[in-house]
Amino acid sequence: MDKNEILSFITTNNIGYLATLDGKAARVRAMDTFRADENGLIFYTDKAKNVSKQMLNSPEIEVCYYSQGLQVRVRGKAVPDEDINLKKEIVAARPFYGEMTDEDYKSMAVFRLKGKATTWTMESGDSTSSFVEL
Amino acid sequence: MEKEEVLAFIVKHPMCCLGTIEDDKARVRGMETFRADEKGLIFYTAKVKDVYKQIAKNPEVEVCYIGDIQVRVRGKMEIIEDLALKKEIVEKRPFLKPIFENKYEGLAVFRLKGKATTWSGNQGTKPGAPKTFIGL
Repeated sequence: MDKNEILSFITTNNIGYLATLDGKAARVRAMDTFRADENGLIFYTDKAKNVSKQMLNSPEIEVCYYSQGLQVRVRGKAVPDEDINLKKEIVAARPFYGEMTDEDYKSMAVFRLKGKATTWTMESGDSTSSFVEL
Repeated sequence: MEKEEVLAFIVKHPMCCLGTIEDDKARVRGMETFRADEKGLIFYTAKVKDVYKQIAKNPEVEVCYIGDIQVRVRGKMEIIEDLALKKEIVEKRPFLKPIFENKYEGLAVFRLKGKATTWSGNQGTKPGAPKTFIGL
């Protein structure tokens, strides 16, 4: 798969499983990928949550997407993004946020991942020898 | 949820994502849960794979299951060399036969006796609120 096909796959299958480090222990949970394009993958959470603290402490993360026999893993460094326009765009697109105060926006955490991807299928196995830069 | 309900949920949704550590970097991939009961969760892979090497080096893992809720199980993975269990896994997963039948030493089996935490979108907990764990 090339870069555009991978980004398109992530856009269609936007719930990833995001792995982080909590000290010396691995952690993983489902995570909504708000956007996947040339500028990276965008994730959002709250600064009070462990996942946000873990990414700040140990930014080397990996996210796994799976659909219909194809697995895509993206690894790299998570970078916090305080772009208020991006935060407002996320809130507008995710109605469960409801009304947001300035404090709420400060508490919101956004991370960008510009990583490299590897794919897997049952037939072909892993492609960890050939990563695709996203 | 009670322990029995968590185990039943995992049996019903055996595909999970398994988080591990490789040189202080997080790793995650899809993984099948062969069994989930009182004795723990059972997983299998090939010993040549990175996931096996990562667990052998650092057994502190977490797995995440999604259905109508999310279940996460964390704990220390134990590598087990039970030949009868390996034979049972290969018998029940025919795609493993060409690789591991009579070459069981290359098949890695793990057991996770961990603790589980559940989440659902309408749980309404405050971000960062302490999690409640259920010993499995």
